[in-house]
Formats: sequence, structure tokens, C-alpha cells
Amino acid sequence: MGSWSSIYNNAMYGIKYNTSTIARLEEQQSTGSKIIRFSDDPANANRISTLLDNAKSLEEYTNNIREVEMLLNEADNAMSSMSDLVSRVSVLVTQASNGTYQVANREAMAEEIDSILEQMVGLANHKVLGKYVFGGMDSIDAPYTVEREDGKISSVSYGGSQYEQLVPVGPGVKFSGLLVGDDIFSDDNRQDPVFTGNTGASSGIGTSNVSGDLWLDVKHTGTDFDTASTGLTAGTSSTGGDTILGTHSISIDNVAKTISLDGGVAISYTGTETDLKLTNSDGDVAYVNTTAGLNTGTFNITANGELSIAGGTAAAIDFTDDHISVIDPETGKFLYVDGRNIIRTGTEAVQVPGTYDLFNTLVSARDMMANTRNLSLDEQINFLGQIGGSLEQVSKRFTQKMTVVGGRLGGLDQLGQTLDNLQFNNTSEASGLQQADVVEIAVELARAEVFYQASLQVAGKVLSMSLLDYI
Amino acid sequence: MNFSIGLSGLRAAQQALELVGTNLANANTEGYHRQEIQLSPIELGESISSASGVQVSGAKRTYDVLLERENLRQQPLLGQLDQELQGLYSIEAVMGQVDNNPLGESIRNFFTALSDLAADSTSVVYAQQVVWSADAAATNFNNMAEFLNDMKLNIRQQAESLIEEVNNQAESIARLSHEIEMAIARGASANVLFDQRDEAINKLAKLADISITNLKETSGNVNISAWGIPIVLNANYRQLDVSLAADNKLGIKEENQIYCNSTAGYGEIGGLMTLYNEVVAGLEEKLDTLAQQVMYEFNAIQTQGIGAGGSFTSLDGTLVDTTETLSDWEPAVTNGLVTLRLISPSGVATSYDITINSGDTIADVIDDINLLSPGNITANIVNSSLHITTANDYKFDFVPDNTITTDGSDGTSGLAGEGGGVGIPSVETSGIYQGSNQTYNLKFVVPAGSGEIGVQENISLEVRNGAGELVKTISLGDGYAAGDNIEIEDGLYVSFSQGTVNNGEDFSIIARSDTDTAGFLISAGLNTFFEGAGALDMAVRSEFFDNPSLLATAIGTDGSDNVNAARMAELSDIVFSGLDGKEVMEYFNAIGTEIGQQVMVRESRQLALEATVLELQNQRDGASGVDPNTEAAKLLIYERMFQAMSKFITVQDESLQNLLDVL
Repeated sequence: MGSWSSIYNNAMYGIKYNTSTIARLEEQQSTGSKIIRFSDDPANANRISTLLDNAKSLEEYTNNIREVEMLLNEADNAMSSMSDLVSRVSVLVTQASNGTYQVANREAMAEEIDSILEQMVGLANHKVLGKYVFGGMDSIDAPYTVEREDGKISSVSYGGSQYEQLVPVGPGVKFSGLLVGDDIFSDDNRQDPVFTGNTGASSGIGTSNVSGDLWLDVKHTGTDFDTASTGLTAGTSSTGGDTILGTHSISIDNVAKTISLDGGVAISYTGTETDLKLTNSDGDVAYVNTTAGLNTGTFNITANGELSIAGGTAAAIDFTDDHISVIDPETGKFLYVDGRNIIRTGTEAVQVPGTYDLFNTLVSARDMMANTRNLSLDEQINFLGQIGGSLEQVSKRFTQKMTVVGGRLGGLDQLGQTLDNLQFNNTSEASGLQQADVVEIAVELARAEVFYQASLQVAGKVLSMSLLDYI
Repeated sequence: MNFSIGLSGLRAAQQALELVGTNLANANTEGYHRQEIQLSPIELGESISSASGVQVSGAKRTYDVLLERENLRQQPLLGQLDQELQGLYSIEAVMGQVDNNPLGESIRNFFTALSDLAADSTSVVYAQQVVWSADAAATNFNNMAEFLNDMKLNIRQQAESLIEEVNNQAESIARLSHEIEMAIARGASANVLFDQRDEAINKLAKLADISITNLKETSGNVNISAWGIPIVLNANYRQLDVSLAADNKLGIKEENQIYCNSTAGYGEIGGLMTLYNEVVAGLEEKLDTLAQQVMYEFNAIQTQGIGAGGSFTSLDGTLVDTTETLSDWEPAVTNGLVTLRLISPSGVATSYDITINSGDTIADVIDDINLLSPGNITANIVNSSLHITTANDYKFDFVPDNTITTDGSDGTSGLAGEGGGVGIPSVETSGIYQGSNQTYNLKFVVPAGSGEIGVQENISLEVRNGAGELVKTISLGDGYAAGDNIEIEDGLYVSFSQGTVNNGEDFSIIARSDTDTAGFLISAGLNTFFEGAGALDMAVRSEFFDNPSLLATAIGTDGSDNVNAARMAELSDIVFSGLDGKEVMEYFNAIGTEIGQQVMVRESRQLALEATVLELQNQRDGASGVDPNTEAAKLLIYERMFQAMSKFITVQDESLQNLLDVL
């Protein structure tokens, strides 16, 4: 038996140790956690904190996924509606192309297409929570603006961003819910422009940057009749009435008093005509003045002209140039024209395959239905057929983009599920590390209480026993 | 017949009984050493035996030198650990909770708000959420730093209180040493004085990092020094004081002296010094590092962007020392460039590079700004802050823009065009460049000598980066539609209008992604979000509470993008070298983990040390303590001795009586 001090020290040490053990176990039992502070288990506490941080971070990504999904769903819904509208336009264009409809029917169809166009532009400018879903990075301003003539849309242009607004949706992964409308509603497979007309104009060398459908006006500005040789001067209707362009031949028989254009029907003259109409075998016309006295022979004359788009700045035709640049005043873009084979005035319908956008194609379809250019039925039907082809082309791209959006939504959904699983794994692993085993603690607590009681009893007994009691 | 033998026995038994009583009475006296009576026989010379009685030659203090010294050695360690643990428990209660951790939660909430803003960068609600969550994080940083500051004050106060006790103990030891010497000189027992002095030394050892020399059982002399300062020299003592050393560390110095020793040692005061100089100071440094990194990185993104409000007509910086060179600012400004974008009323933007030298003062930078476009943009100092303002409807910002220069890096005169045809092509850049700042050189290769873009075959453009490496060759002949954007790299796009180019013509694009390579904007506080030097004064600038749209969510020149907001959100996932290669939350968790590890290691050491000390104390008590049973046994023995000697005297007395009766 030791000294009283050592007995006391041992007893107090045992009591203190057991008391702290019980206190710790009771704290674990009442909180349900075996790691409350870092010192309880620094390595696992760090792991728990890291796992919970990861879970929180994944939750943020999941929230962003929901945000992007919401925007993509809105875009998808808008595109679905637009797809239905485009299908309806395709049906109308196909119906109108077969030539069985009357003018009034086509005009009614034009009205319907106009209404569809208005809806399409509205859907392209669809806004969710203050953001335009088809404006790319620029979600504040409406991406599509329209020009109107007589209250109707004459052109639609994209002013949104060319870049998507990317949002972090996973570690190192970014997705955009705000799409670039220009990328979705416009084709991007530029091909050489196709000229439909009989002026002789064709695509010039080089790559034009105009898009979709446009009308190239080929106009006459004046004819040089080589007066010195022919004795002919321009008739009074020549400037506005000649349809010839470029070099043509004129044959004069001063004996027979006949004159012909390009070997066409010989026209009699008396030498007093100031506005004699000459027509060649193709129907091209030149007006001449015969009063100056004509010379017999076959001569070359040159009719000059100019090219323009939609009333924009005219480019003089150089009949030796295969690269005349004509500017579209609405877009500022240019069309390269080969001027070498231009022989007559007229309007060329120019189509640039692979550059169509839905809206301007609808504008073309509507205008063609309404025949705003007063074309013949055959021309109208022909152009409607071509517009149908353009519409099909741009619809195909649009459908592909819808698939891309659908795929993106599917990918996001999968990513969301993966992140949800990761988040669940992180939180459950953290819980597993942190949560106390209640049964185990109860057993340990009971054990510690026994030890505590034992240390109290032993201290009491030992301290109370002494030889002094027996003296 | 000699009664003196009996009397000596009675006297010895009585003294022995008294000593047993003293032992039992002091059984629980701290520092008491059991005393044992020293008996020796009396030699009377002429007697029949050499011994003629007994005498008490003294009372011996039972003292095991080895055990006592080892115990003395362990006390300072235990004292240090106890003190460190007490402090660490307080710190852990505030900073080391796994679940309930306000600072950690507020930083995380800040990042959550940034993530929300990245997903919807135009939302004013989300911008407000960022401002308020940043404010909450800053406030928690402040609270935590204040807590550590208060803790240091408390530690110092406690050290001052303990040093008083050290001084008292030193005085006691010196006084007791003197009394021991006096007692020894008088031939009196100094056992109790030795006990008292040992106990005072023990208390001193628990308090201070002491070294003892010349401590003997037979002498009052003892020399004790603490932290290298002699505090007891036999009967003399010196007083100590707590003070802050030159490096602001808590230290100990001799009263009225200048030199202050801040080397942490053992003992409770050593523990306080460790807490003050290492634990708390270390945590303060880490907290400051974290706060500074968050502020710096966020501000670095904020300064170069623009919010929903667009470019600025005026900006005010934060308080700066206008006389210091820029390298002395916090954070230090390095040599580099600041690029300021000035936008005319018609929307034409021009980027100006301002060269920043770390040896400059802010006055030099102001001079440079004032030369950019005199009358349209002005810089000056207002209330010790840099103030930049524009006039004539000009605006400015620090958005990275690309500059096209027709003077190529190879010294040619750039794009001259051929004239006659469509003339010189114009070049435009677009996109948000996210590579490193560098100058790209773009050179036309036209085998035919010259050609029109988008028309002739075989027109190509060689693009070389700042290192002269070929990055890309772009075909610009037939097939390229003028105006189409072509990506160079890292989000930088270039487009060309119609035009004719000659073989070998070149031009350069100064591509920028960072308009503050000097760190000037951050340190000057221009368009910054956070202000403050560290955790203690970190705050969100007041203007953001009124106008959260100042948050620079965009970095593109038209201010419509969310790239900056996304960069802000990505801060949570970036590993920073300034944070020991960790992410922000990782670094924060590491602080908690370190606290936990420090507590755990000390608890483990304390447990082991307590067991050792308990064992030593038990052994010491076994050797020097009072065992009631032993004393009870002695009580019986000396009682019997007393009875025996009484009987002896009685027998002697009876024998004498019998003798007298015979007479």
C-alpha cells in the first residue's frame, strides 16, 4: 500500500479519465456525431469537410444544370412550335407550286405565311426571365430585328451574339442555355450563287457574301449606236426602253430602207422616224432615230447598263469583267457578278444555296405567293418550287439543330444525374464518417460507467482502510 | 542503577511519537517529505556496556534525488502542454468545428452566389446575393481575426499574471535559501525549509522554463535561471517582465532591461508564448493569407470587367500612400502594363498601354494617364485616392480589347493594298480572347504576287504567335466570304473585308486577356470589389450595396457576356500557389485540420505525460510520502518503547526500593 498522496492521485487520475471518457461519449450520443470538432479525428474531419464542400459544389453545378435545362427547354419548346409553323409553310409552298391554285388562293396563302412569319420572329425573340434564349451571349437585346414595308416584314436580321453564353455545369464542363439564333435558323454551307433569269448575268469569280434570296436588277443606261458609222442615234425611248445590253449588231439597207437588230425582222424606215422600235429574234428591243441619214452595212452597237440590288447603289456593267461587285443596301453585303455574258435587261432571281435563314425564306415565300414582282404564273411557280427547295434546306438544318438541342438536354440530364449521384456519394460518405454508431456508443458508455463506478468504489475503499482502524 | 538510560529511552520514544504525529499531520501537505527519526546509543564510558541509553541524533528527510529531479524535469513540460491545450481548446471551439463553422459556411455561400450569378449574369437579385454573401464572408473573416487578436491580448494578460507568480516564487526561493543557511549555521533542522523551497521550485518549474544549478540537500545555495536570465542566486533574486520583442513576439525580459527573449520554452508561460508566437500568430497569418488571396483574385477579375452599368465616366480608388513607390504598396505593384480603354462618344474604343514601373509613385502614373487624351480623361489624387474622370461624353474601362496594327513585327509597312480594285481590306477582331497577352503577326502569302481576298485562289494568311511559332494558316482566297469570322486561337477571331493584298504584307494583333499585368489596378483599388489589407479589415466596398450592378460580370467589349461572372464562380475550383497549392475551401479546411491535429497531438502527449508524472509522483510518494500504515506501525513500536522504558524505570525503581527495604 502506498502513501495517502499516491492513493489520492491514483483515484483522482482514474476518476478524471473516466469522467472525460463518459463526457465524450455522451456528447457523441446526444449529437449523433462521432466527429464534432477537428481534434476528434483530424484526418477524417478534413475528409468530411472536403466531402461536404464537394457536395455543395456539386449542388451548385446541379442548380446551374437546372437553369441551363430550363433555358434549353424553353428554346426547345419555341423551336418545336417553329418547326410546326415551318411545316405548314412547306405544305403551302408545295400546294402553291403545282399551279392549280388561283391568284386569290395564293394571296390567302401569302397572308397565312405572313402571319406565320410574325409568329416565327416572335418565337425567335422568345424571352425567359428577362433573357432572350436565341441571342447567345447577348441576352439583353432582342436578337432579331425586322424591317417593314407597308406594315409587313420585308427583312429579318440577326443582331445577337455569335457566341454562346457558357455556364459552368460541372468540373471543367460548360454548357450554354442561351443559343445563337443565327446558328440555328440559318444555314452555314455557302455555295455559289445561282442566277435564274435571262439577262445573261451569272455568278462572278470570287466568293460573294450575300445570303439567301435576292433580286438583281439589270438595267439599261444608254446605247451607243456608233452614229459615225451607222448614222443612227438613240430613239426617244432608247434610254428607258432598250432591253439590249452589251454588244449587238444592226444591219441597215439604205436602198431597201430596212433595218434589223441582231439579224431579226427587218423593219422599214423612211428616215423621218425618231423612235423606231427594233426587235431581235429573242425579243430584245432597241429604239433608234433614223433622221440623220443612215448608211448601209452591218454594224456593232453597244448597250450600256448597270446592276443593282433592291434599289441600292448601281454598279456599271463592264462587259469584259467577270467580277463586278454589287452591294445589297439592306445588309451591306456584296454579290460578285460575271458581266461578260449579259445581253439584256431584266431581273435575276439570285439564290445563294447554303446561306438561307428561316425568316427571310418565309419573306421570299410570302412575296412570291403574293407575286409582288408581278411575275408570270410559270415564273411564279418556278420560283415557288425553288423557295420550297430552300425551305427544305434550311428546315433540314433547323431540324438538325433541334436534335442538337435535344441531345444537349439529354446530356445535361445525364450529367445532372451523375452529379446527383456524386453528391449523394459525397454526403453519404461524409455521414458515414461522421455519424456515430448509437448502439456502439451505448455499449461503450455502459462500460465507461462501470469503470467510473469501480474507480470511485476502489478509491473509497482503499482510502478508508488503514492499520489505524485496528490500533 | 542509572535512571538516565530509561529517561533517554522515554525521551527518544516521545520524540519518535511526536515525529510520527508530524508525519501523519502532514500526510496531505503538498511537498512534504516524510521524516524519520535518527536514534543512536549513548556511550557513557565507565559502564558495563559501551551503550548506556539512547539519544535522538536528528530527523532525516526521506528524499530521493533522482525521482525528485525527474519530477522537476517533467513539470515544465506538463505546464506547457496544459496551457497550450487550454488555448487551443478555445481556438477550436471557434474555428475547429466540423459542422458549425460560420466562416467556412459564409465562404461557401459566397461561391454559391457567384455560381448562381454565372448562370444568370444579368440578374440584379443574384448580384445582390453576391454582395451580401461577400459581406457575410468578410464579416466572418473580421470576427475570426478579432477573436485571434483578443486571444493574443488575453494570453499576454495571463502571461503577465503568471510572471508575477514567477517573481513571487523566485523571491520565496531566495528567502528560503537564506533561512536554510541560517538554520544550518545554528545547527537546527532545516527539513521543513528544504520542503518549502523544493515546493517553491516545483511551482516555479511548472510556470517557467528554468534551469537549476547547485541544488544540494545539505546547503541553502541554489542558482536558478529562466529563459537564460538568472532569477535566483542563492539568497538573491531578480524580477522578470513580459514584453513584446522587436518582431512583435511575446517574450520575457529582466525588469528594467531592454533585451527580450521570445524563444518559447517550457512551463505554463512557455506554453503561452507558443500559443501567442506560433499557434495564434500562425493562424492569423493563414487567415490573412486566405482573406488576401480571396480579395486579390476576386479583385483581379473585377477590375478588368464591366457590369450592367457599362463603362465608367469616373472611378475612385481606395486609400493609398501617395508618397510611397508602387513596390511598397500592399499588394506590391510590379513592373508591367495597365491597359485603359477610352471610348469616344461615337463608340470608338482605343486601348492605351500605360507602362507601370514598380519604382514609380502614383504621380508618375497620373502623369501618364493625363497624357493619353488630354481634355477627355483626367487623373488626380482626391482624398488620398486615385481619381479618374472623363469629359466630353467619353467613357473608360479596363476591358481587354485587341489592337490591330498595320505595322507588322517584321518591319514592313503593313497592309498597303493594291489600289485600283477594291482597295485595302479592313481587318476586325472579335470574340473574347482567353490566352496569354501576346502580339500575333499575320502575314499574307500570295504566290501570284497580289490578289483579292475571297476571289483569287491561293491567298493564305500565316499566323504566328508572340514566340514566332506558326499557329495557323488561314485560307483567304476563293471560298472565303468577306466578313466571316475565323478563329485564330483561344477565342480570338479575325475577319476581313473585301480588298486586295500583296504577298508578304503583314500586320499584327495585340491580343489582350489581362489589362493589369502590374497588379496596379488591384492595389490602387480601381473598380475593385473588396477592400482591406487582411482578415481584420476585409470589407465589400460600400458602393456595391447601393448598386450591385457594378459587379463586373462581363469582360467582352460590349459588356453583354457572362465570362467574368463565370471566372468569378470558378475561383472556388482554382488551385492557388499562394494557398500552398490548394483551393480556397481546401485551404480553409486545412486550417481547421491543423488546429485539430495540434489539439490531438498535445492531448496525446498530455495523456502520456500525465501518466509518467503520476507514476513519478507515486514513486516519489512511495519513497518520501506518508504511509498511514507505516506510521501506525511506528506508532505502535514507539508506544511500546515508551511502555518498555517506563517499565524499565519502574523495575529500577522497585529494585532500588527493595534495596532500601533490605537496609
